[in-house]
Amino acid sequence: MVVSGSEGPNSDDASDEDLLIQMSLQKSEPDSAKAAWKSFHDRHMRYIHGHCWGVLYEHLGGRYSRKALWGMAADLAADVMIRVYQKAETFQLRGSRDPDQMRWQVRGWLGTIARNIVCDWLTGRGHESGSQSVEDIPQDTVVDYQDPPNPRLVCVGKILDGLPEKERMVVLAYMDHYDTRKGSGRISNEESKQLAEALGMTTASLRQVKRRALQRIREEIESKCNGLDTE
Amino acid sequence: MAKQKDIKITSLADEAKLERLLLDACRATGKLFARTEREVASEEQRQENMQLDLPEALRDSESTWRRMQEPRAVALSTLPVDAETCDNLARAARQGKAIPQDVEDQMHRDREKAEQERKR
Repeated sequence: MVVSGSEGPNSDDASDEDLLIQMSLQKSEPDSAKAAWKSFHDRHMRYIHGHCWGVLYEHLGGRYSRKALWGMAADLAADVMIRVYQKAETFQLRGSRDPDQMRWQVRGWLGTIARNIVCDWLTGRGHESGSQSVEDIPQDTVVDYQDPPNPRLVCVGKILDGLPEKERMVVLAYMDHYDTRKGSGRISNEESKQLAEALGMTTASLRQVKRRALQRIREEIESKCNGLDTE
Repeated sequence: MAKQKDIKITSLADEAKLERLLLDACRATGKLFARTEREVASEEQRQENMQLDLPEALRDSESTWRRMQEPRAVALSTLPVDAETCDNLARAARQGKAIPQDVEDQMHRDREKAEQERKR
């Protein structure tokens, strides 16, 4: 753990947690906070940009060119890094100081930030989970690289890929807003209104498309994914 | 090997269970942002196979730093409709349709309000 002081940590060797702590001291030690942020940026920018690209492609790939999505992903990744600097003090490491586990937690936090920014974009205002810190992220902390993909989830993922574009877009938008604490994909009336507007629909048609999509998915799961193990 | 969480659902007629299954499927297949350690590890593996390049603008942290100094970046957390990036995605979400006049008026009012608050 760092270590405040005039020099700050050696940014190249410092852990992610150290860098974030140093960033959180930006008011009293702006130079070392900036140096820490730059190291963090260099360390994680490729990952977060690649991830933003992948998620945006999943959501908007049918309607926008790869070039346009590439630019959007760059904008989003830059905004994530900006918010990291602004919110550095909110990061809290859970448990182990193992380097891999720390990196996964930090990148999970980056994913949460990216998701919140996208919710802001889509609804034109702050999402209710906007203040979420890594503490609120659901814990399934044991990671094994050898874990095979869960066949049932892969099967459901393929069904989602095959949905008509509008249904797919609506289902993904609802999943973006899924509240794990409430265990529901339901969103407030106000959010529903904003989301419908962002997707160019009325709230009634949004609900109708969602209901139709869920019915289609339910039938396809029963015909294609039943019998697949969950482990 | 760690035992995975059992997500088998007993009745797809239960909408809440179906939604939870969809959420897990979206996460497991990279359709949503990775937020747990397991999801991040999967995403890292996926990226290793894809070997994506990094846009020129993101290679130099100074350019992101300069972006942070711009007014729009400062206002990002309180004024999402003010961001160029927001415009891009919102436009995409609207499928290229024009912004209704009342919405545009509200955006201008929000922007002015946020700028006034920032000056205080």
